[in-house]
Amino acid sequence: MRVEAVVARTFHLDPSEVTDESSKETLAAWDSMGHLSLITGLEEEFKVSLAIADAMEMTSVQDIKRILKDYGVAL
Amino acid sequence: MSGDRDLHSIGLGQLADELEARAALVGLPPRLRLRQAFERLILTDPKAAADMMGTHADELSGLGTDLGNLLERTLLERKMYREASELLNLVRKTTLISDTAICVQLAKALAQDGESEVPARVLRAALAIDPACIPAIRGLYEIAAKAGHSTEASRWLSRLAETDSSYFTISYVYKERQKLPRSEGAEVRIALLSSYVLDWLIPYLDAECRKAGLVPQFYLAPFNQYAQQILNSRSNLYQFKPEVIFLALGLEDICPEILVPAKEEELARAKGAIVGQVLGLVREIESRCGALTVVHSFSALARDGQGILQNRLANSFSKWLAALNDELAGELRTHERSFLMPLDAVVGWVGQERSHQAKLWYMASMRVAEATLPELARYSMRYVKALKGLTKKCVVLDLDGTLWGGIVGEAGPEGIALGPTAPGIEYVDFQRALLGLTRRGILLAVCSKNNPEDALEVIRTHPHMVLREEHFAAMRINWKNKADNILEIAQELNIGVDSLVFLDDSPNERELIRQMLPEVLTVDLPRDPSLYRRMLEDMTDFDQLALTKEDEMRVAQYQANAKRQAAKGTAVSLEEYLRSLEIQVAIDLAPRDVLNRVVQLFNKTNQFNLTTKRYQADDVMRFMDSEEFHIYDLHAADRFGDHGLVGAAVVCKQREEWRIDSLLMSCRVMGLGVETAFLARIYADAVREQVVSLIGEYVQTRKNQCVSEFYAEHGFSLLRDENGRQEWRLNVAAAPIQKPSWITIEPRAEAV
Repeated sequence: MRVEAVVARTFHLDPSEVTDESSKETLAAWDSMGHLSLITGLEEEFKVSLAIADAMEMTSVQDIKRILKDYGVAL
Repeated sequence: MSGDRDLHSIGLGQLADELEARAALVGLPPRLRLRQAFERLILTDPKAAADMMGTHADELSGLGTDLGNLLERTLLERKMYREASELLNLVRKTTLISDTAICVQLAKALAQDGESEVPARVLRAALAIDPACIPAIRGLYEIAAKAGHSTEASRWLSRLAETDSSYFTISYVYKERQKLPRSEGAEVRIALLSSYVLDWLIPYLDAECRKAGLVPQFYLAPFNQYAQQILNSRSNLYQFKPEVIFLALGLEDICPEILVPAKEEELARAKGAIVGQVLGLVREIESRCGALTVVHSFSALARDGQGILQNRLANSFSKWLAALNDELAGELRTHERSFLMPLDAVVGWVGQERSHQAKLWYMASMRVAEATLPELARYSMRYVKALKGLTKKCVVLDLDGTLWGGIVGEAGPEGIALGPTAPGIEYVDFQRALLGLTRRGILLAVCSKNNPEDALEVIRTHPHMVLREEHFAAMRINWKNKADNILEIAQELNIGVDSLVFLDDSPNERELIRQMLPEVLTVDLPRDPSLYRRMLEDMTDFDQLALTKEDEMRVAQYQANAKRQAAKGTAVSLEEYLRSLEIQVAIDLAPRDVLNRVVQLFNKTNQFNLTTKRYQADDVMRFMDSEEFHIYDLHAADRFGDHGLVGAAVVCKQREEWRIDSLLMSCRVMGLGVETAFLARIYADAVREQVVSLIGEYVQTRKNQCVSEFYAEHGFSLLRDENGRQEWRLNVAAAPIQKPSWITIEPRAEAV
């Protein structure tokens, strides 16, 4: 739930509104500036530094979780 | 068994009996049994559970705080919204409901039925649980905006911005504000030119401006178009008519060579080129508009790359960078309207690591990370506030708990915390920072509920007091309410209530002043006195574009004022008193070297100001150089001290008619007849140039009532009056204006 919590906090959503399917397409607030905020938020929450290619690929909650696993983050 | 009695007393007897047998089998303690019984009731009959919790909130809160959350969630799931909101209302003084997310969901569900009052109450309950609950504040904003209550909506947006400084929140506030009708307040036009992406500073600047009561307009130059915008006099930049231009150039953008750790001689060459480039741009701006230009100092993204030998080098990278900023500051020192803003210091406070994130630069050409934006916007406001004359003039201080720890009336002078060790040293350090403010022309005053003799003993004799009686321009130590005392202080110092800052450790006193005197800037002192000094240093309300001789003299001048007041008590008549002051004035066409002080007067004077035209340096220079205008300055002194340059006037000369466009004077010299001497000088010049009539303008504002009769009192008659914009006329031949007999005119008084 930590990923959902970061997404919810970043975009003023209720955690219950955020699902694996939430993405740049489904959330209006998730624009390009919002994306940078989200990446910063994820890096702070999980104490990682994300490669640019990965950061750019993180366009849905599912993708975020998949990529974070590569960084050894236990979800 | 006490547990059983509890169960029966709140009407759970039957349920409890039913549970008893099974629970006893597994040996549950009575409290847990009660809890289980209630949980069961919640699931079987939430309505009954809600009724019971409403009437027995206190007993039930002993069973664990999440019981209320569980009940709310159940009511919500079963769409029993009315019951859920009533329950919230009934138990709001307990800790039974702690989950604000449930409240927000409930409010949303209720709002779908088209309601607004009940959802608003639910959201307020969420704020009572957690004052920083963002979705609740946002929900309250949405409700107010939808109902068309724009003032309230704007207040919720401000609260949102103060609660959370994340980019998403601040940009939401910025976007929503555009949808509300324009709020009241002075406009300020801010342009941002940058070699990198700095778009996201604008919402932060907007929030800061609103906090200061300003309504900002922004111009953001297209990415990396700063030079074209500056060099083309018909560019959008100049058409925007900016009052402030922030010029943010990235070191690596304008000098990519340094990205490869450079040799000493390369660095030396680069420095000259960079300084030349920046100065060139600044001069171009200055020649095309009168905006205040604020250049960001340079900071580096990368580290020096020279290793431990850097301190063996005459021109290591870090020394070079410091020298670059130094040289730029030195060059700009002679430019009245251009400043170097210490971006490197701001970055340092936030932390290099958090401020300059390589990834943001690589991905989005951003050099300043989200974490730096609040601090950067706050620092930028120092220039904006100084330009708009929002500089505060006096800090009103409480004593107990503010200037020292503890209560002197109870602990005595020896018992208070004030001295070289902790606790006590934090107050000494705070006092040192306050003393520093007086050197920038800011006055200090005391407003304390105390026995005067107790407090004065500390101020006069405590060995570790930094601030003594002579540092306070006014003191009110008594048991009266602080709002009255603060009004008296403003009156005694002859300054507006809105130029006061109030610092008090008591939240009650702060709340009183916020309600009674909303114009006063009441600051929340941190709960921890170790943070007092930092809080004061971070305030952006004491900056001025130039520090004049008058600012440095101010504290002494106010002490002289106190002596004048005392002399007034002994004089027999008003005229005798005025004569005893031995007032001298010097009135002249203002020379170039008083430019800063004259501009400052135009922008700070609110009360004795006939037209309140806020002229800037380029306007004043135009008046000085023009044949068409006279711009006068007025110095005043008396036997108690020198007031310095305290008045200015602009006269527009037509052949037969002179128009007094502006006439203003510091309040310190009001009521001494100095203003009549000033007008008499203008009159005398008019007579000499055979002018037929003098026209005086008066534009009414909220603050200049005290001069509404100024022209009438000097024999002018009203020509026209359009909504508080008046024109008065004096036939020069018919009615002479003479200086009062108690005032002596001196040739220009040189620095005393």
